[in-house]
Amino acid sequence: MDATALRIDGLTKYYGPVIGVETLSLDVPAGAVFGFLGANGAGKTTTIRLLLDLLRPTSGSASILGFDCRRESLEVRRRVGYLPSEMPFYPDQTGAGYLKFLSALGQQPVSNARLEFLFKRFDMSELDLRRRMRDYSHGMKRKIGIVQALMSDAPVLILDEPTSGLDPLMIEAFCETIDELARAGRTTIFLSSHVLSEVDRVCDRIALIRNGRLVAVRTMSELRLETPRRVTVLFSRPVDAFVSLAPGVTIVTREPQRWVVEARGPLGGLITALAHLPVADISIAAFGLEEAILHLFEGRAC
Amino acid sequence: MLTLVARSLRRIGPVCLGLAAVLTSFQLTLVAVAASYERDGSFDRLASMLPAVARYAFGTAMSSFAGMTTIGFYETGIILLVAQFAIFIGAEPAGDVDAGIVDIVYARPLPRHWLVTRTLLVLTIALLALTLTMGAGTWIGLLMMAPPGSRWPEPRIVLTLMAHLVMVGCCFGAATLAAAGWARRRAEAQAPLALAAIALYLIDFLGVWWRGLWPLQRFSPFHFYQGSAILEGRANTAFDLSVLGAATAVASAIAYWQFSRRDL
Repeated sequence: MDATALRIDGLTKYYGPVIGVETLSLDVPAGAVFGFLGANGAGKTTTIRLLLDLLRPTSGSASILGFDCRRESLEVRRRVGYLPSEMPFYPDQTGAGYLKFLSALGQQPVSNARLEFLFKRFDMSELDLRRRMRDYSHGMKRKIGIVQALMSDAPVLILDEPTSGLDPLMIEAFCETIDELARAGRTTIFLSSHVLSEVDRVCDRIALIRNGRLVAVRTMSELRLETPRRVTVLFSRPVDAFVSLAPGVTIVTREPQRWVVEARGPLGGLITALAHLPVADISIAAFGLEEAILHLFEGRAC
Repeated sequence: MLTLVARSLRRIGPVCLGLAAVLTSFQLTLVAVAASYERDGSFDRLASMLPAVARYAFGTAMSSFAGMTTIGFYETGIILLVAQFAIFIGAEPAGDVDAGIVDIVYARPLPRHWLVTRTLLVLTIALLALTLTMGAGTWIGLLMMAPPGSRWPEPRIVLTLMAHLVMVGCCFGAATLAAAGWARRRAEAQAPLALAAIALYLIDFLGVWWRGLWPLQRFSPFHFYQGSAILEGRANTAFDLSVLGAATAVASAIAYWQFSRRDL
């Protein structure tokens, strides 16, 4: 497998005067779990639909596993499992009938063992699958959507808002499944989501998109290093003396017995600088993806 | 492709069955009425009572048992019903875009042109099934109710009428399919064509009396399906079917072209 599973190069899509995406370029390494983040209308679904050749780009190109998404779209779609943000269905079909219909269209055999595993993982009984799709709840439709995307063991998964409408147990089941696929290393996962906790949990890198333009691409470890961490230090006695802290550390609040500082990068330097002060307690705020993303949006780094 | 065709046929199945039942019942009723006139020997009286409009519409059909039993294949209501049914089928790809079905189906490794080919196949199958059921209804009616010694319609004539009915349907279905190439909603393709079908029928029908409509008649597919002329052996069947076939082919080609380039 090529080191890059998905490559987007200058991809642009205009809907008349409206920008869908504009000069979007990014690479997704093979085996990555890539989070594609942005607000509503930022261009996430447009990008995904361009990758699947459902939309035709105004300019630019994209490829998946070395196949051009426009010229070789059949080859691309042969290798992709896709979950749309809104699950379309035929109301008169049963869940089982729908999955059978989609697997017949996929032109690739779907193993019963794989299906059984997914039904069990997402708590879908035979009775559920015999019901008509029109009688399904939103969550149940979503589960059917996840199963159809995962059932063919495609080397690339494109998942648009995969957990919207799922209950916490099913979100956990979904994250567990993605973790397993990531550990196996045979699948590249490109997922768009609003649920940052889920992105934080499963993704190893992210891209931020705003108004159709790429704002930043980062690995989660880069993001952790870049994002200022708020550290509160309590002293056992007043500390008035000026102390030079480590590079990348700025003091936010300075009281005689309490400092609040923001530190970027590794915290070792700050700990060393504090070592000779009468530190009574230190609390370090946990890394928050939300804060990190806000920071990136503010900086508009790329 | 078979999976897609089967799914579409299953979706339109209830409508198709309902329509087939109505049209077949109509054929049976026509045979029953014709048999009654034939037994009474009152076809001549009936023909003399018809106004000019009806004489134009039905030709000699109202003056013979064989003619009356075939009226169902070109009667205004029936022909418009079949055209509307074809328009309904032709709008299916726009409905698929509207409902987002294309997202899940065409994210699979299926060529885009299948969207059009599928609908053309479904259209042809449904129209053939419908007209064959009508034909079967006519023949069953004749077997059951035709008075002894009555002259049955020639199978060749009935087949020609059926072929015209199928081709008029295909023409409207393909035109709707072409319109669906630009539509994001089913109604955007279906509604204009449904209205156009009625307008084109009126243009063809009223054109007989109003010279101002003559130049427009040739743009109406109904102009190339003159049932009474077929019955009387006056129709240029090969030409008419060729025109309808060519119009269907052009509309289908436009649909293929537009669906190959559009956003789904």
